[in-house]
Amino acid sequence: MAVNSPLTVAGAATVFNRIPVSTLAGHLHLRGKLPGLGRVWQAALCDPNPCLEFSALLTRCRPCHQRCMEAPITFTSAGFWRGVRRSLPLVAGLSPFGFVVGLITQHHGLSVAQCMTMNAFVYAGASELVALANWTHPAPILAAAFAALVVNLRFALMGPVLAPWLSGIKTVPRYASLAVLVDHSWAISVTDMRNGGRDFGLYIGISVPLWLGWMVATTAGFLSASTLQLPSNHPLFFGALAAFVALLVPLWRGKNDILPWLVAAGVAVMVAHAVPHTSWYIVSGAISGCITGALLETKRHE
Amino acid sequence: MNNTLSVYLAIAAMALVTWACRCGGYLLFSRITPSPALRRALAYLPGCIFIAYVVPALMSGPPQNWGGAAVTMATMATTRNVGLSIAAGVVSLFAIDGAAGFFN
Repeated sequence: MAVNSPLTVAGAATVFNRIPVSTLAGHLHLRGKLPGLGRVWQAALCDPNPCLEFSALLTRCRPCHQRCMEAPITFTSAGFWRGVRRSLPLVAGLSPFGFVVGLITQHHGLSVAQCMTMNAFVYAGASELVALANWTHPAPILAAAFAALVVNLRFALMGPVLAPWLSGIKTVPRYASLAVLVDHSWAISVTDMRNGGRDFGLYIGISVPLWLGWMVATTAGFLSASTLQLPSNHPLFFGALAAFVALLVPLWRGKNDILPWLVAAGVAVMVAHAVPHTSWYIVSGAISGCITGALLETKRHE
Repeated sequence: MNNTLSVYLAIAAMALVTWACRCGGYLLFSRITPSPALRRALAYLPGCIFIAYVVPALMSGPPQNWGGAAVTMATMATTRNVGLSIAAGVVSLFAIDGAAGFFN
């Protein structure tokens, strides 16, 4: 299965919704057995009516988990190079986004060292763009941290799915490797894990070129901006927004999303108008959309 | 506070928060159980976060951005390639700007 975008995750959720409940009941015996997850949370993952996308990924990989319990986690150079090969198309695909992040960083008056530090350690382009959009001088420390929190909360949903691999390695490498977790490395690793993969080298093999490629693309974008001196309404700057628009497509799960998305967009537009130059519009929009979705779902189940 | 220090402090804060997000899910979800209502709500979070970012940004930008967004979405829906979709959106904006310049 070719994974070249986070789409596969949403795709899996769509497929999952069509699996009959009887198939789901078949794996309930796995409760309490998934490595690295608390007993209660595993029960939640085995809920026959799961809501989170990642629960769909876990519940679909029963054969993998059975193998997981038998085989230890390995780290091989073969796995590492397999990861490197699979990451190369992603590096190429993400470069324009990185380039735009670099351009915009320059646009907001950061130095090249600051740009490289941000991309090396934050390493989450979307949140950097949101933080930079409301950048001030001196830098808005709390607002930037808040933007990072709001935009990167999605990473918190990814970690638990990789638990069978993460729990198999030592504490320090575990939390160090989580620092480079991105949508793409996660999607490939989860697919491999689902197929019974036990080689953590794959995850590192994907992560290293992605990180290096990101550093090259952002720095190149930064440096070309200072020579190009582009006006702020240049079409190239649309690339950043286009990245979000593109990522929006795979997140669409069907007609049940219509109303929550409309509410989220409407509230966000109003709050952005009322409290400009903050990230509050994203939080309030996202939360009202979530509440709308949950209420509608509860109503449908009654 | 001087500018340089504040920039590095902001970057450090962002890096810490982002790392906490990446590790937090793994740490937290192995210890607590979200209520069914909370899990239902969380399932809508990824899409709602992105739409809440995109729509106000499109509304505050020039109108031709909507055209660029439509091209990006159409490319993404057909190819599922993020890099290609971004490129298509940007190229379409160049085309719209070029056409606008030609007719004015």
